[in-house]
Amino acid sequence: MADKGVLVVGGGISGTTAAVEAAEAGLESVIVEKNPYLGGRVAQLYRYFPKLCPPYCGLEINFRRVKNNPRVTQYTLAEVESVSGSVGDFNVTVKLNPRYVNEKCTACGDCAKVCPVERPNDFNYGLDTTKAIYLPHDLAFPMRYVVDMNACKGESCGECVKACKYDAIDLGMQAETKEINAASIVYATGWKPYDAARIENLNADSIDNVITNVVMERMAAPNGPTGGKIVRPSDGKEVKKIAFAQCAGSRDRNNLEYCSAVCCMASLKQATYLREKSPEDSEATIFYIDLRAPGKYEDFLRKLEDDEKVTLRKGKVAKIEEDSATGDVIVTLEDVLGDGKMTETFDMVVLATGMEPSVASDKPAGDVALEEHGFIDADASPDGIFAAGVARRPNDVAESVQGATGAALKSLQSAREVSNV
Amino acid sequence: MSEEAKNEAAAEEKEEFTQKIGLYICTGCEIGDALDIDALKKIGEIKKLENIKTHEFLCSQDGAQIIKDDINNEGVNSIVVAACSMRVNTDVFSYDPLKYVTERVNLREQVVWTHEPGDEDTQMLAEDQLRIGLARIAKAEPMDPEIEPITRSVLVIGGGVAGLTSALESAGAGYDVVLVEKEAELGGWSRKMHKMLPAKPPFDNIGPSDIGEKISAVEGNDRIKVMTGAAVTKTEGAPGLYKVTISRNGGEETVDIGSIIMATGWRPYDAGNLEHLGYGKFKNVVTNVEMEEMVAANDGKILRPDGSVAKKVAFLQCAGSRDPEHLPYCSSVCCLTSLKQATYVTESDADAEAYIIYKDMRTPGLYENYYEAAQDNPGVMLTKGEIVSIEEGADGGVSIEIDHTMLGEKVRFDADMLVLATGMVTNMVPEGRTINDLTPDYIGQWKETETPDGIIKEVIADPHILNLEYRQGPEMPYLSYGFPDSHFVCFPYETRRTGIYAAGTVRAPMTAMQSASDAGGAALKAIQCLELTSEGKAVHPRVGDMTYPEINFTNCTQCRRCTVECPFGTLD
Repeated sequence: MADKGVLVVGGGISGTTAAVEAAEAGLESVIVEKNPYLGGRVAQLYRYFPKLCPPYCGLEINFRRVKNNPRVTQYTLAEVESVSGSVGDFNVTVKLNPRYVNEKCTACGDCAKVCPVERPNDFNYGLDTTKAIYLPHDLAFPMRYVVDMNACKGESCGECVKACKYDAIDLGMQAETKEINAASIVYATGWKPYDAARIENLNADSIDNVITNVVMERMAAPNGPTGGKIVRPSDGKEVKKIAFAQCAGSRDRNNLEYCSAVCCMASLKQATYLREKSPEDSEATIFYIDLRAPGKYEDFLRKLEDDEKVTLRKGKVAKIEEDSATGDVIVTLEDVLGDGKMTETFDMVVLATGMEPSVASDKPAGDVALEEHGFIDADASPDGIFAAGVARRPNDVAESVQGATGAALKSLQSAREVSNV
Repeated sequence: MSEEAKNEAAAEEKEEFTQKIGLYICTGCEIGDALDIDALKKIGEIKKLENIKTHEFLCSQDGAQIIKDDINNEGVNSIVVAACSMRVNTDVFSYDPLKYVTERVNLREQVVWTHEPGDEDTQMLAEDQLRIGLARIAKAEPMDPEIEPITRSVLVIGGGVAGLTSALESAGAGYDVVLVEKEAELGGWSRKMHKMLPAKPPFDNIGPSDIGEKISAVEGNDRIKVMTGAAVTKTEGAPGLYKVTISRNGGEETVDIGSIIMATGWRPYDAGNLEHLGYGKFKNVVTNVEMEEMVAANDGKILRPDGSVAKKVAFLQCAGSRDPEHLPYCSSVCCLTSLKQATYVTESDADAEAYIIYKDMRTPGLYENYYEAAQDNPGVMLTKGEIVSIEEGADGGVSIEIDHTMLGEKVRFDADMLVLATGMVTNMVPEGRTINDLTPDYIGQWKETETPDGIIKEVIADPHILNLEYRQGPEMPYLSYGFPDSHFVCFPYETRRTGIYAAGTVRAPMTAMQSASDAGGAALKAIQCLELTSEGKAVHPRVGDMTYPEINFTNCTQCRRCTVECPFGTLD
């Protein structure tokens, strides 16, 4: 007697965890991921705090658990179109968007060599480009190319089709629809970075050398657009003096009212990226309201406090301007513990922007209750609907995984309640 | 089929295993260009293999199909894949380990990608790799998992919010639970709280505790056996096969248990060490825990220890926390607790005032909504600051001087009472032990033994929660400050004692809401361990692995390493 399974919406660290944990407890699990790869936001991170370890380590382990467990099925480029039914018997319609590349692909890359079209690389937040047929990133799972049909010239070009030795490209591939029956649904739909352009006083859009924390992650990553060099977008100059503006658009009634719970630790971590790359002559300053390093993360904060090239200054950044002659960035803030208003000039400024739940602006199919900021309130949702990760509330990776494991338990209960009847 | 019948069937199948080897050589990924494939095939031919096939892309659907066809049509049951590393394409070259044996010969990463293509030595290396693979598979047999009947029940140690939730969640998934609580009553700290921190959207208000409902649900659940005033005195055995001795009312009983959730919670940092902050010196300086108990006992009235009404109450955050002399870490909940208790103060009287002096206000995530609500409360004053001095003031109050405030100068103010926001110590740390005095890895005593090679210094752990009959010691190892937490960001339930999972504040400082969530995850891990063990499989990180060591006693040199390492004393 097989239990009815769980459908997990979102294949980031939370969704993947929920699915494999449930499957290893005996439940059939289906992951529905809209990107052409699993791994979500953490795949774009260079390192995790506080261990400064590479996120791909844990992702690889989880992908292996996905691959080797016949109870887990994963669909990429997939979206939930509709949900009907109730706990124990949800009917979910999933649209499988065409990848235009089938499972014969060996990721040899011959197709991309001949492709004549470039497109902005969304994995690197548009800092570089890929061809219209591209591998989402170096370690993508599934390790298979994909065509961006918005950029591709289509069958009239067909250069990639000719170049493929394996008959893996089909530019005429059509979308499919799948009906999946599940006892419960876990929404692990994650987050997106808050749009820094919406923070009026910080001029993120108009100043080249003001970047956001998510871009900083790609910049520091060896497989990122700069090959791991922390350089200024305006002139490619190596960054030596950096500032982090905490709560950029967070804890702010005009933007995100809540705290995203990870940005303080993320900036402390990113300060180490620069300090590690040029230990002799780099400086980092973090402007904060409250430094939030809960629990044992305090040890990490203390490590940064002990670095004399790292300055932690309490004060919310009031204004950011550009020195047009040099490209430097001038930060004005109220130094609440010092002499009041101060200005300081930096090579580059990183805005510690917060996390916005993906479903806040893009409401998911199904009867899901959202709280005021758009996080999923599973308790207020129908039975059999659960949330995990940042879709549930802002938290770090460890707490996301912990919550996802709890969601796997809830799914097991939903499935068993049915089979006990 | 019953488990016994299954075992018999498996045994029969094993007896019938007559090896038929198939060799499949991939020529893709530059292997075919760099090596003489015919020479490789010849090695198989010398071994008189009937099924030797090459494919330019063995991991493709077509390639994988030729192996499947040979299995189905030719009776191949021993598959040698001479292609890429055993670490890749694990899903493609995966065959039922109960029926087939598989050997991966790495011609790609370890040969052609790392050595001169076409070179004589490269060819020799490839041929040797292949001979090794063929020699290995000749000795291999399909897996014969050891499946023992196991106990499908969960032991939960601790009856606070994490323990109660673990018990309910496990029972809700259909498992029997034994819940052991050392106190006479269930509920833990939550039962002693006047009100609880915000636990549901919009997270801007405190509310009554729901612990009573949880206790009733546990007590009314047929699957949960509650043992209060009880303690675990001995834990023996392995996952699925624990024998746990529980003492209660002077008697002892031994129960069969499948897996264990340790939810033994926290206790407050000993404020006796905080005399410099006035504790024990001035009578109206109390801890946050004492404040909570006083407010609960006085039904919301704010009374000082001397019995008089307190109208102006100061809260000092990080009292002994974020302080290398006391608790180096942050306890994560004290800022929220003081905001909550400040609300008690302003709710008690329209004129009452609360002053919170903090280092950093830590109300992460949606808890920020509650901080915002406190900022809108006219009776609550908040300032960053550091204590310069505390003196006893008029009427038994306290006079506090603080510096590094946002006002830019030292400030002195008087309060009727001072509440020290003290932190949490995990109950992994035995009573009477401070966290600055812990032995590494295991909490215990140093023991020096003289040996011919010199003095060996080791830690002998103190038994107090699990009392494991294990070689490595009676309790869980810890990482820092006594917390038996996971070392892994991605795997927070990773345990160093398979079958035993920590949940709630014993593992890391957290709120009751977070503890309840943590308890669900720990319950899943405990259940997963039962399910996998019942199939003869290992848990993560070797999930699904059905192998176990067999000792070849004729080759044993009696180095005794295995008897020292085996936690279960299997080879004693």
